Amino acid sequence: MKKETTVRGGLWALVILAACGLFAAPAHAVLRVDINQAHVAPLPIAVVDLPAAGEGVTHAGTLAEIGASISGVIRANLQRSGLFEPIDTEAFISTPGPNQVRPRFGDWRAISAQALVSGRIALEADGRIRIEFRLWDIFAESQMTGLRYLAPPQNWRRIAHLISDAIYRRLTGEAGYFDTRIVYIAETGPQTERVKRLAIMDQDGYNHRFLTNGNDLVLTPRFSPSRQDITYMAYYNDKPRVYLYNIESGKHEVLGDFPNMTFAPRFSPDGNRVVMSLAEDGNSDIYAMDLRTRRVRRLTAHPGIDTSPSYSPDNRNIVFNSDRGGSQQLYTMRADGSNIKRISFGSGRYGTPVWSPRGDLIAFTKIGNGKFRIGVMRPDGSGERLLTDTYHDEGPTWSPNGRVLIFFRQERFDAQGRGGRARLRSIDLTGYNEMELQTPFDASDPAWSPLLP
Amino acid sequence: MTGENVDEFRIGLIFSAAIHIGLIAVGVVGMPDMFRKAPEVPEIVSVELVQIAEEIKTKEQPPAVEQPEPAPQRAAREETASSAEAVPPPKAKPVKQAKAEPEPARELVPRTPPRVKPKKPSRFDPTRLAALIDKSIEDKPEPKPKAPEPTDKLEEAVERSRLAALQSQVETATMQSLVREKMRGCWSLPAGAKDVHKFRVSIRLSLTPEGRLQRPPQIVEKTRMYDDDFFRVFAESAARAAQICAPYELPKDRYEVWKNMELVFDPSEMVG
Repeated sequence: MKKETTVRGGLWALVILAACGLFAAPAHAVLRVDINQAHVAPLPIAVVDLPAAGEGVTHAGTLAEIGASISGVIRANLQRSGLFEPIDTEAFISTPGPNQVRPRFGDWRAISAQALVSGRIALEADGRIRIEFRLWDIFAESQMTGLRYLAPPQNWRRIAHLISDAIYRRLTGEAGYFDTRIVYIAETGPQTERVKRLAIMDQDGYNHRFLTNGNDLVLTPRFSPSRQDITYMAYYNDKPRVYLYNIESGKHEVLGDFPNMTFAPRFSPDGNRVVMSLAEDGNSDIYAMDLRTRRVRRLTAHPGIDTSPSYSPDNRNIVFNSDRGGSQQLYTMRADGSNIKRISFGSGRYGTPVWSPRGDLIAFTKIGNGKFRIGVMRPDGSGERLLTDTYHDEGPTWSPNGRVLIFFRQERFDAQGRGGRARLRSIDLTGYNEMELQTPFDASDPAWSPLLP
Repeated sequence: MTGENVDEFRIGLIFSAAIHIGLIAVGVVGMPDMFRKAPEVPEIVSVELVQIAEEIKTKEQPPAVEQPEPAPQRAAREETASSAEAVPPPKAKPVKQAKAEPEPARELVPRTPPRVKPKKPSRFDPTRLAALIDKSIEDKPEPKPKAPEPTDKLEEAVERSRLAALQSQVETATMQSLVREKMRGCWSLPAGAKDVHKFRVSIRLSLTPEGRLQRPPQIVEKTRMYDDDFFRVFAESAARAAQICAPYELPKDRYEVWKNMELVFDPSEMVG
């Protein structure tokens, strides 16, 4: 009896052991670690000069030259964004040829690249160039994206911007902003006789040109979000008027024949309306005009000065500034003028509010302590942050992805009235990566275009 | 039953027993390996990563963008973390452990939840998981108090196991802070990305005894990668960090504890 029990016990032990073997062996402890600290550093990326497939020559140069130029523009774009650190091409161990698709990842890991852009350029029979690129994840050893473009050779710069945008989008999750333009007021001449012209350039400063001749004073240009239209204010017969200008056709048009001055125009994000201020007897209120019907609707009616309106990206709300509470502060309201709420409560005054295309922030100029500074806050007024701190920064405008701001900075005049240099600058919304944009003359009132169609 | 029958029966029994034992042996020895996936790219990953980790380290020291507040914050955090984990568990716990005989069940606990998790990332409750996993770690080094002996001996055993559990907790906390500290230099957060502070991603690592990656890091919330570009970028930054940081230098004698790691990347306290 006793023996039997032992045998049975032994058998059971065996069964249990087997069960342990079956189920428990693959289960081991997992060490769990919470990671709550990171650093902010640009991503090291290698962009090879696009190799030429064949020895084609175009009126814009040889294929190899164009390939190298495209890569140069891509590197410059990525570098300026502050989110990437292009690796010096001198450091490359191997560069893939035009017919090599898969890179040797070890060679790129060895120079600490985390992403790689490779590709090639070829000449089509019809004289166009064909450009292919691939973006590689060096650690995962996989292709992240790859695209092909066909274009006339002289359009290589545009292709470079499009490729930059594709890379940016894949590596940040946000749309890029490289295939865009900036319109601004170019200022020349002495302070007493300032000539102000409307000027436009690519976001990297290339293809600069003037849109007006400087006979009339122009101010506050703004891009249409959906078309290549610009709205701006100009003095005509000493009366400020809001104009519409089409870049393609070069046509100017007065927006609405108001008896009084209109100013501070801005498009709605759907491009169907322009919202602006209209002054009457020393009081200004906000009006919206439907561009299809040209019908005008009054949105505010208050004895205080209401101006600088800007739509939210969903077209439903408007932020503006008003002195109705005693000093100039920011307010939001619905697009029909209802539900007006004050959102700024800090010390000093607030002006030129601009709603981010991303919707999460409102940029503004804060005036106080003898300074004009650029800041951002959430649409409910919380989380106010000042991004700059110098003598005079003003007039922020958002990149189409809501990630970067451009504004203008004016330096102090000295006792003799000299100085006062004005330039455009860009800054990341995190407050990092501030830099100057190259313009041939003094510059103010920048406006960033949407991505080109 | 005739003698022949008995013989036949005995032979049959022996055969049957032999086959059963054989089956069980296969179960014990072979089955666990069947569940394990074949390692995919062990050799490529291992050698070169060393270099990179070091290069990155030296490289990133200077540009490391100034983060004024985080430093004290981190100190505070670590303090709370380690102190929280070092707190001796309530008396009742070790007693329970000492009693808890059926080991297989306990071992099962930590494994099954993670297995199920990936399918439903939204239901993932990391805090609970942590509790389970930590408990399992405590359990490991516990001496097998299989002795239904006099009470004073039992108390002694309980006390011993309590100390062991404490010690292993401290060890765990130390390893966690080692990894955390190293990861800070490896993880470059996509700062300024919309809602980045709301994201959180778990990365699974399987490590060799040398602390290298046995296979590429596994992103747990895989399905979300395809729905949300921002999340994908965020998760990729975490996976990249896990690769950049390898090899992990952790106490070799505790390999069993850290050979499987789950890193939970959570920037909620970093950006406002």
